[in-house]
Amino acid sequence: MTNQYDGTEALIYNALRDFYSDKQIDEIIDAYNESGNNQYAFWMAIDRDVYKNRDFDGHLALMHALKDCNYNEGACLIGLDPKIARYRTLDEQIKLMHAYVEHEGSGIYNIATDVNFLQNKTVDDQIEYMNFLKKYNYNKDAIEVLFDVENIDKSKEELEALVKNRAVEEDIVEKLKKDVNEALNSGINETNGNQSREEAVDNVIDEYKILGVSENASYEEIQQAFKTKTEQLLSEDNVDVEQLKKIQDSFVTITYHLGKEVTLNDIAEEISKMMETKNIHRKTNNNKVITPPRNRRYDETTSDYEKYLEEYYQKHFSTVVKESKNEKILGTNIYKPRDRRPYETDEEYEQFLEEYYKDKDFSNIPTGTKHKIKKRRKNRKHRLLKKLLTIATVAVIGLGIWFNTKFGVDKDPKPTQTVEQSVDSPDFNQPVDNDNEEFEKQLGKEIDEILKTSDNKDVTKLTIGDTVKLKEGTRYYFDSQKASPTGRIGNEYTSPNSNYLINSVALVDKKTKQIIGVSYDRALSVKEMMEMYGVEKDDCRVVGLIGNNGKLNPNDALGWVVLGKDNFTKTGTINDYKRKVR
Amino acid sequence: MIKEGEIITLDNDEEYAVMQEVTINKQPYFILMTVEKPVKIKLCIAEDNDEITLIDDQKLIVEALSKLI
Repeated sequence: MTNQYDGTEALIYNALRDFYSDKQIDEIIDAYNESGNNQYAFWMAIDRDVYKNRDFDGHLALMHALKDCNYNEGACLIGLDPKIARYRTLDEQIKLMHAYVEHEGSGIYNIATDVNFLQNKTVDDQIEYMNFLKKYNYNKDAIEVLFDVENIDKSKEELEALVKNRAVEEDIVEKLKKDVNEALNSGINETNGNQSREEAVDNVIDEYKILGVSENASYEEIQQAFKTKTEQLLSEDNVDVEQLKKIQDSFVTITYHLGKEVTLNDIAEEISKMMETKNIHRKTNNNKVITPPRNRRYDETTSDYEKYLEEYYQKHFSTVVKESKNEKILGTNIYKPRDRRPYETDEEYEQFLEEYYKDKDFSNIPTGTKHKIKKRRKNRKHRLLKKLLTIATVAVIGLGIWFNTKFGVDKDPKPTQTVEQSVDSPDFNQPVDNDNEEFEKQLGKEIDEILKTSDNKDVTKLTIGDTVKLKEGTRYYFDSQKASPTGRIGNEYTSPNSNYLINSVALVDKKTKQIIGVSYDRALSVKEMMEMYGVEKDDCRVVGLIGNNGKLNPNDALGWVVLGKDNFTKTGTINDYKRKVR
Repeated sequence: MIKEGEIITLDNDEEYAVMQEVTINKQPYFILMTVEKPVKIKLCIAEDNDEITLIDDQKLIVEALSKLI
């Protein structure tokens, strides 16, 4: 049994724990760690398509194959591709990953993943096509010829003839493009002496001038300018190769500068910016959270429970149930008003509406601007972008939400729980660096921050059945009134690294030291208890009966602990605990 | 109606990839992301007649993002 993972390892563990044994997960994590925290290795480790379509051995083999491919992005995507898993064996899929790396270039990725190729050709055919394109410098038109459905049954000779005709036309430009790309990739920009690629990007303004477009030009405008200039030069009797090269250089540099390949860093930055304004939302979210009534207690008579329910509904739902629908107004926690009753006059209903809306706060209704869609097209990189967005989200705002929603106590979410959690989710303004070495560091740091600032330290959010870690030195007592301390966390029986289960909660009056109320009810949160007993958070101590045997049973408890601001961190629920033990 | 996996160009020439549909308070939204720098993440409601409403509410965007994980 292992669950001592932190950071990215914890993410991998959580993604796989329902599918693999702990030993198997260890192997996947080891393979991930071998990558030096590479993001593609991370994707490969957690991707649902991989563990759904391949067994554990296949998953591990793909992790190792990715390593052999030097954690190449395209190879990773080929490894994750469910279409390939459907039409190719594991060995063939790995073969395609290697072939892609060898032939990395425009169009090659599509040959590996295109469903026509997968359905109608063998893996060796696919690799042969890749070799075939290499002969023509991966010429765009040559690729089109291969992808033309009408050509799918043509012989290799026929295809070669078609490709040759097309390839010659653009050969000069393609060759130039390749030269400049190679020069840029090797870190030396030929037109700028020993300037590095990064420095070249700094001077990108000059590149716009060379192409004759403004700095604000869209990518399409830049593409068009490049095409026009190239065509213009090629139409002249004596082609100015140097000038052609310059234009090519500018186009490649600008494209790089524009970041057509969106990076994780970019997305994370954007999310971080949004998070900066999050504190404001906390202040505006003053709407009352309505929670369901607790279950009947084992020692409660029917009439007592009915009385409790009556009081509960009177207190919490008198305005909601009678005057509103169980449906909220868009983007708010305000319920829509009830419909007009059959016997109600217009005047009466308007009066009701006026009264209903009088005290409602509509300050957080989402505002928006309407736009027409001019154009739409298929996003070929949808899968890649979605992964980047998800990972960036996990890295910036994620783990608090994982703990509170995905592994929370309640399988049936309470009406407003999601809104509340997201509003209170941890605040991070640190962008995540795309650099692989930095990635793990950033993630680890952020997880720490999340644990420091999240709801996981809010005592009112605790519910019986939650698991907590307790600070070393925290005293535990024989009873909830702290009559006699029986030990402290960190002694020979109680490790500060262990998870402790909250078996019951007592509220104790700070002044009189008397017990206000005790609950053994899993459905009741500390906040609800406080509401039920009519006490404020500041006026009472929350004392939890802790146990560590995975059972909600007060007889197996270790002792009572005062749950304060700094001495506990919520780590999960009894369900998580049982899953880990299993 | 817009669909996940599309790139849409709006009347103000901004281009967004439609990343994922999420439902918040019974209202379906789409998470949008620019495909070029600077990266922006937006939330929108899909309307009829090839129209969308971009929502400015940051809280909703954060909530929508949290549904990705």
